[in-house]
Amino acid sequence: MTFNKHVAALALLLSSIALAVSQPAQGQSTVESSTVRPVWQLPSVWPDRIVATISADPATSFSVTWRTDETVGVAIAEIAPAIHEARFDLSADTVNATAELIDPTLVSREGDVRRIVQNAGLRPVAYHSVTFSGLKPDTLYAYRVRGAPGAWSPWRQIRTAPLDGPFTFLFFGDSQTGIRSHITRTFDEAVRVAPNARFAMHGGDLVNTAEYDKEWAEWFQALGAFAQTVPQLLSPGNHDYFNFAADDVEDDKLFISPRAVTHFWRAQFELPTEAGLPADLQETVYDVRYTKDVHVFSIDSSGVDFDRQLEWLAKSLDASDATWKILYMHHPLYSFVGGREHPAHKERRLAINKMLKAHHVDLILTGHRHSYQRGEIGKNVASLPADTARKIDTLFLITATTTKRGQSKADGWERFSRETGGTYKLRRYADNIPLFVVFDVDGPSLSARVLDATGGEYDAFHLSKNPGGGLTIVDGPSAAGATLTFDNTATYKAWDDLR
Amino acid sequence: MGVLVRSLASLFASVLAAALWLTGAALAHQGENVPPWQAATDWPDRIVTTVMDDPATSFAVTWRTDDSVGRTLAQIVKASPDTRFDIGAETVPAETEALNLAHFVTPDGVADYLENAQLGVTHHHSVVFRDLDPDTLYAFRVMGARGNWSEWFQIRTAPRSGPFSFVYMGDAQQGVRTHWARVIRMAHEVDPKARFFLHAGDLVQNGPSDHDWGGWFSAGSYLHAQIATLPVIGNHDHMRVVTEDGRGPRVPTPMWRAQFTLPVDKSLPEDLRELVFAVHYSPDLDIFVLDSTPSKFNLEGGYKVQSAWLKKQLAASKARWKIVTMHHPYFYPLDLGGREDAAKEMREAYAPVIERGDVDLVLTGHIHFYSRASTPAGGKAPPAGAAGGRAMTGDPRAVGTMYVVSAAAASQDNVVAPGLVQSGLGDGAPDDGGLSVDRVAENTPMFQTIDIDGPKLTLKAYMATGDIYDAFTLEQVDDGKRTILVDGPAASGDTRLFEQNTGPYRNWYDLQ
Repeated sequence: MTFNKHVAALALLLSSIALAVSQPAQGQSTVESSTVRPVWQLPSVWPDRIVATISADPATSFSVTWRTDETVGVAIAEIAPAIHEARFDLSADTVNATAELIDPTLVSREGDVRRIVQNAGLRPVAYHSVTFSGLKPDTLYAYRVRGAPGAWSPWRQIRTAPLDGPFTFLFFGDSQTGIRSHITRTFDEAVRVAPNARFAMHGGDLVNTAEYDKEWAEWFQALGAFAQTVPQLLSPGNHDYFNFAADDVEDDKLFISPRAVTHFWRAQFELPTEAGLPADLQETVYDVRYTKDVHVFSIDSSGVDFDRQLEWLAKSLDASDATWKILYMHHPLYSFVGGREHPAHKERRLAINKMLKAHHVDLILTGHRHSYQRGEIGKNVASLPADTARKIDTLFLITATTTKRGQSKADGWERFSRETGGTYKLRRYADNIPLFVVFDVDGPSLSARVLDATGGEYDAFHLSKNPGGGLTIVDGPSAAGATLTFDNTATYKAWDDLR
Repeated sequence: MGVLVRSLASLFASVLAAALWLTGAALAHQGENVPPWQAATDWPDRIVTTVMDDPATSFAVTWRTDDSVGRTLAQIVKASPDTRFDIGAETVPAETEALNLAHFVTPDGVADYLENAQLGVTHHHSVVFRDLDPDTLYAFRVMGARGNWSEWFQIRTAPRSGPFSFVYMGDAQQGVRTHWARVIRMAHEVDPKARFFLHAGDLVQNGPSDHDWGGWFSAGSYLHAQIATLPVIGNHDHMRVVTEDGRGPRVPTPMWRAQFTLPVDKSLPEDLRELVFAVHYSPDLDIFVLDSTPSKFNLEGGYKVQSAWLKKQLAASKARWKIVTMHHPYFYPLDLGGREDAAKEMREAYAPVIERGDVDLVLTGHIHFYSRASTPAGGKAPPAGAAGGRAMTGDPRAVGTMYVVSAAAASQDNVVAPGLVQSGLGDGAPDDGGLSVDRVAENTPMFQTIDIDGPKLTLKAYMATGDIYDAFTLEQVDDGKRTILVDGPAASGDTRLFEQNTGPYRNWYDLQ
């Protein structure tokens, strides 16, 4: 058998030498032949890009999506309670996966078909997904997924949501650039500081160019086993959108362009669907009631039908009796980075602000600006001193891990403060330092640690629910540290040299 | 590690390489036994950091590529929180060693390992980063072909003082990629700040199998890069070679030294280098690594060479805690093969040195169950307990040396019957009261965390779910002259045994 294999391999080798010699380069398309793909991008019959998400009740289910090459038609997954025994897998249940074939080279919207030159030469791939349901709350499960017969992933373990009680979760802003090379260390550090995190939220701009398969490969590489052991929640950003109006579009024009979230989005992430929302907003606008205490809402701030999204949000907020209502989306409500503001953005900001007055949200977590900013909304907050416990309505936070950094402009901030008549106040910011947030919830108490990629704490605060409504915020000691800007941090260089 | 010089540069070779590149994907499908997580490419993989003799100022990293990658590089920089922490990184050239997987050549003979037959030559690159600052977080990356860089990984050097922890695991061996993956991942979740992972041998089932090693690296993935590995060689990490006279002596798999860059103690014969070494982790901890396998070298006097080396090392050690690690637990009956009296020879060489050398803890694997045992302090019966007799398990008691056996493998063994425990530790060694086995478990893959905080050492044994099974603390009193063992609450839980209070078991042959 080994001999035959050798003969076959040799025959193949000889024929390919003949092919290489006899076929002149002119016969080949330039893009296809000159693009060398890194091995970590290429699909095979083995499962890769494995990611766990939440698409239904997190106490009794979780979802997993993975990729194979197009030869794998029907894939399966297995799940078993993660017991102590050596052969915990003997009682595993098998679940059939749903497959979706994706051609990385083509995207379309209403019959408008575009070619993604950067993906040229890539074969269609299959994304497989399962939702494991009927699980027990707060229970550790082991699961694995399969590509071709025998091509199994390692067994991974995930804990379902508790019905109530304390737990930890993570928030990340834009990863976007330098994902594989530079952001890997940040995700790794997050696992080190919060190994028991129950889920991780990503506030959009996961990649820089929505349809580039290689950038998604980087994202999955950077998360590694983290994506398989902690469910991920994702809200798309403008860079996760493909713009049909032009090849390259300024993000302020995005609000009015014909556009669609990357065709990888729904294929590679299983997220909740909302029956009342249009197809374009499925799996980008949704809510997850994680426990009795925590309810998360995703708004697609680059998406269509913004009014409709807000309508849905208002209704969903009103229907929720959760202790903590957390809104996450890509675009910040206010941000004092960058230049002019597009009228459409201002319109959306004002609309959200108006909605917040009538429908309470405790935290708004966003990205987009590639810096860190944390502030609060509430009556007279602008005049409250920083070193005291303060009564506020809503906390907002902007952060990013990306290597592409924005520069804060304090005067821009003052403009917003004037616009809102003192109901808006920035408390802490940083440039040039990728930061992520670890949240610890315990009933009416929620604390946050804002950490850098080395595990250092840059900011911290504690929130508690006031009996009569609203929140009390107390800053942690690290909030009083020096503000890190481009002036007092290490040399910054644009990200274009990163691979 | 010799530096490899690429020898073939003919036109034919270039054409061949081009053809191979073009048909790479097709060949991967043809060779159905080479999954992507095993196949070598011109990107770095199997990236593993290892401890060196002074872990406060150095660490090593080893990685693999296919044989198209000749000289390559690594970079290192202090890890700052800044976006571009990498600016100013120092570039270090790597040493490269070629390994022909299909035809292993060792000084003791050759081996054609059939399972590797379709695999070619792999290149194993390594650097030792030196002159680092203690207890400092560094970022490093390694390269394959030009521009094919790995991610930046972060790792912290050893502290010069103060508390720290590490993880100790027994055999991974079977179901490594499938089942052991959850054990190592949970170890990281339970002790995310562990400074290194000690693997007490039998990392794989078949030492020469590239497929098995692919499974080991794939299961741990990035953890092997971020957390230093301290590997101990086991019998399964050895292989048989063929000599000219047709004999088949057992030698370490050449993949061991190719894949792990470890301290070289020049006072030892070459056969033992990188297998036997001391790690002076901090003023509180010295670890001494032995090779207990009856390899060709050890059967020809190697055990005695090692015990002489260990005796000298222990005498010179100023560390507060002294840990010896080796694959085989010598107080349990062992069929070491090769020669009937090999086990006895090994025990008689090691046990007296360890028992008299003030060794606090011996960490082993080999038999696939959990066992924690102790010998009495100073070779005497322990001080009288409250009841006036020998101190019972559960009472704080003075101990000599603690012995732990643990396994993380999918394959599990029965505990050794008490009557078969070799309480006699060898010629002239303390034999008064012998070994007391205080906690065992079957059918339960396990890992241990060890916390060292000055005169206090705490070992906790966890199951793959992160639930605790056993715990004890050793406390040095009377200026370190006596060590008191205190059981943790977990030590009094039910004893997990096959067919009594654990779930069904099946051997590992069906795992894929």
